Amino acid sequence: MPFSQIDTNAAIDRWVPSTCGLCSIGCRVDIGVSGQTIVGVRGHVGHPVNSGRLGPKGLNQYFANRHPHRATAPLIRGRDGRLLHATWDDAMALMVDRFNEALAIDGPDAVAIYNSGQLLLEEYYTLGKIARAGLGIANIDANTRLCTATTAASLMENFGADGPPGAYEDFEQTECIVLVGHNAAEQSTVLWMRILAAKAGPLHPKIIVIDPRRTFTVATGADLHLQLKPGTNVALLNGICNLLIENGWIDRDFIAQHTIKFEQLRDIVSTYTPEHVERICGVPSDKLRQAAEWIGTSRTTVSTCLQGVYQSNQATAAACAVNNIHLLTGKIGRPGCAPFQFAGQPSSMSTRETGADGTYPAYRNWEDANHMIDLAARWNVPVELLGKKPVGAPEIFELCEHGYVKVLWNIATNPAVSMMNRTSHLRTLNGVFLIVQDCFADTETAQLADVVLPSAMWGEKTGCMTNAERRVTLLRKAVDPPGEAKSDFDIFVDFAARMNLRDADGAPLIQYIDPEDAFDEWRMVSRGCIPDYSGMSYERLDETGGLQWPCTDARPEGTTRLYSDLSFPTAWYVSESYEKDIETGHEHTLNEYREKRDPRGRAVFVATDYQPPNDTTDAEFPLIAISGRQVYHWHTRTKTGRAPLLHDAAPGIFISVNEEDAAELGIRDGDIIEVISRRGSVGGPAKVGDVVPRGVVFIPFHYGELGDVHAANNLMPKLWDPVSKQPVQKIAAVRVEAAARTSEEPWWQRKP
Amino acid sequence: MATKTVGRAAGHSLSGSPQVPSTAPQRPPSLVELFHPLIAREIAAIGAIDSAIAHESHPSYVVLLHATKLNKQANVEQMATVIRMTGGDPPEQAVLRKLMMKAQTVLTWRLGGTTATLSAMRFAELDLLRRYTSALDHADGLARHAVRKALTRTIVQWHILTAHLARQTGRGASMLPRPLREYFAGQTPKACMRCHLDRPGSHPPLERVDPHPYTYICAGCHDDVRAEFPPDLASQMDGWPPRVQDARVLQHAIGRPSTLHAFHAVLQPLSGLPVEVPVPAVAKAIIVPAIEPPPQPAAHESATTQVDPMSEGEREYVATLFDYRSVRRFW
Repeated sequence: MPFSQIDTNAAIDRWVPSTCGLCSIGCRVDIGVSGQTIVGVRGHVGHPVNSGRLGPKGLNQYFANRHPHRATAPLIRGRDGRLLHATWDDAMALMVDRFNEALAIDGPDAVAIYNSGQLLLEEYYTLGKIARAGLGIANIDANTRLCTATTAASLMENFGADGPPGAYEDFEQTECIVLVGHNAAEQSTVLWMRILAAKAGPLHPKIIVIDPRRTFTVATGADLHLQLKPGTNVALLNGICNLLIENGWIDRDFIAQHTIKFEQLRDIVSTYTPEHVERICGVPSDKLRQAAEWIGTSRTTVSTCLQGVYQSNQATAAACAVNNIHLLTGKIGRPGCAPFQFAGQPSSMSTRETGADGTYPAYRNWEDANHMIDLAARWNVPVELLGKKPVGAPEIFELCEHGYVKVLWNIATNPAVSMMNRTSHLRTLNGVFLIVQDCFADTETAQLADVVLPSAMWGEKTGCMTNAERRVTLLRKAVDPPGEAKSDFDIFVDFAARMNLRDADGAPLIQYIDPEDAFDEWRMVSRGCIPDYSGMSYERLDETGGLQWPCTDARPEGTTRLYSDLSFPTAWYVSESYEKDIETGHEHTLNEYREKRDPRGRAVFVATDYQPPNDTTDAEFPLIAISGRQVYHWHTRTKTGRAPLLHDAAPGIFISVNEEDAAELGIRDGDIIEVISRRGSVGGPAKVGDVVPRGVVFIPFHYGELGDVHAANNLMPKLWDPVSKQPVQKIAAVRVEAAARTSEEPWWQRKP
Repeated sequence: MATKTVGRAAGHSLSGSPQVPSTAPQRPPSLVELFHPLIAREIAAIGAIDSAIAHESHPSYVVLLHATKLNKQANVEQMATVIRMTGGDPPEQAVLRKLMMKAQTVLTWRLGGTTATLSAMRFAELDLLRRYTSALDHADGLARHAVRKALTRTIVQWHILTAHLARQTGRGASMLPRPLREYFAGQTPKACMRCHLDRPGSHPPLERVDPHPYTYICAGCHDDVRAEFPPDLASQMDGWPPRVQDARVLQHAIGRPSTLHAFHAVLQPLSGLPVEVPVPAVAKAIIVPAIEPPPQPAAHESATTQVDPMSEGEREYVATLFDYRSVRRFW
């Protein structure tokens, strides 16, 4: 029986195949439709990803579709400061005028596009092509920079290119699972169900959780919890590598034949003895030894990383350290063995594959002239205008802040809440000409917009998503979008036509008008590349329920896992990146890489010493604030905040404080407290307990209405990882002050 | 002598009275007539730069070449935008010119290495500079803005190349508006990856070598970048280990915001042009909330949920998860 949620007394006309639009697991769902209204969803029975399971967000996502505050008509800000209804013609004409004006006067640096991890593949592909081949801009990135950029960066550094190597079935085929900064029970609910099912199965995998908090995951499934201090991932993972080497729990043949730079790794990690690690991380040495033994003596190991790695200190270095463990033990490319560098959003993978995150399509390397020549030929555009170094989202927002970017097109994302150092970013958003394309017109970012373009959302358009195991699924449109809202795809196609974007022969740059034709062009563009889609079609995706890339004519069934031949895309002519400096992000030139570093198909150990976080604690700011998600909400609650059950389950901010810290500060459960960093503050009720360790406070990052003080990102510094450019959103030095004692019960103590 | 005129002419050009002899036809040229030859030359120059990048072994100069290419791409995109706005044709491919310049670049590099390549590039910049100066006479509105920006980039590019050649050959320093020591402070010729020169400053230059990718930031940029850190981080920098301080400076220095700022605030004055840092836009008058406060989810919406764990292992977890309130104890 599939998991389902259906309106009471609803009469369903039809079930439309789709994929869940929240988190990156990619659960297959059927959308129940009555007339032009979504009235329920159910998990798709028998699907290899979820077998009918769904999480609470997945079951409740359709409430957002029919919420009365959907954006239903374009809006333009009037002279009195109010957003006024406009026609599509007027809104698009204004947008095009401002784009043209900025491009003509100041050039490509003057415009920027900031998109999402929640659109569809065909939309990303079209947007990326418009940006790169049409407008000629480098200022394009997605909010995946906040969640999955480090995934891509670490895979490039260790293996030569993006692309998670494993498959979900590896979780059922392994003896050991290591979750690093991944609260799977809250962030990946269906995956966690699968893991728990596997734990009760024949292999009884040991589950190791590395997390500063005693999370839901720890409570419901961990066999070993390494509760480290925030920001110390690299030290702990180096310690595990050291123990693996010291105890001989490594695969010497694999290392010799398929990797390089083992000696550098060994030299660096050799100083990370369990006792040294304990001093840095606060993790007892015997627990570290236990973890290393389980990893080292298991025949198979699967690891996962999520935001506890990616949004923390030394993000790429830590993610690479997890990959190092797999390279040391030769646990990659075979069943039950994979480093799962996870994606955060349902189509983060598609963003990265198609280049809407600022990279070039199909993992092409911007510095490789041959990659650019090949792409220019497939797009029929001058190659001379391609090959621009990507500019990451934190840099784009800095360009906005300083006035270089004049026009910002913000699509399906809400940076007014989600960006670090939020106060400065609010000024930024208030200063540029801001176009917001979203399914809701009342998001915090939309409230600052000059133009709002109403867009369709999940269930209201057709296209593909790729999940974290490279499985591409087709989402069919179930209902029409409300009012005058259009699909993001249609808006992009319209924009390209109005901008008169053309190819080298004078033909329209975007020559398709429906997603299936866009998909077919993408298949052509990806053919022969690492994420090869050439063997897929809408028809085959419908038939199969999804295919894992690479999927070619010769391999039409797709590919379960990468690197089963133990050959890695690190050679200079195929590598997506030329090995960046893990401390500065600077990349080798092609000639440097080709002449001095080329691993020629072998994987690379990336070793780094631990460095403490840059935002340092002191007498004035003695605690560390970390942020994160709750199981019932997604990002800034644009969608989940509209679902009754989800809203009721997590209606507001709280600040987790350790009970001993609270006692010292005279704080009781429910008291209103203020958390102050060097750049801002957050206020809310204290939730006192033992979930966070001493010296740490935790704040969910979902909240942040304009004019209130609930945004965790008020606290976070303007720092980002050098390699992945992912903002550091989990480390801020803070102090806590008791603000007010309330006689009201905090919301988490109230009875229903 | 000719290049000495360039700096002055360029400066005057930007204020509207160029000194360079006009090559304008009698009839005002159309936008296409004005821009297509310029676009063709820029595209050909980019092709030549690509050839130079393929041969250049020193990473600093590769970065300089990429920066030059990026500026030329911007010139093309600006002119192409203006043409597009009028419904015009796409820029011509200039295949023959492209091939010629590429072949010329390869030959130049093989015969004379980096110095000869920079010299050839400067020659090409001079030609473009004259043409942009002339085009400024005939452009108005947005087209004039586009030409003005392209001319600025070309002037800066010409001065960077002139300074490098002066440092390497000992000739031509008098064509620069400032003493050569303001462009190059080091004992050996180096190219900073932010400003592409090697300027003096109070902090030491930063250099990273193998096994790192070669990275070099001059003393002047080291000073500038430190000043770009926000106060909350700048106040903590001295407490970071020196290696971390250097890494953060290098990270910031090679990012687009800092390199673009260097172009406007450092390279323009070193090219005889005024500092031209954009003024951040003024905050808009907005009404918040835009429409009305978002309503709470509609209470009347009720639904029937069915969850059926697939295995015994999942059962307890699923029960807690879908209770919607029990998970709170883990927050």
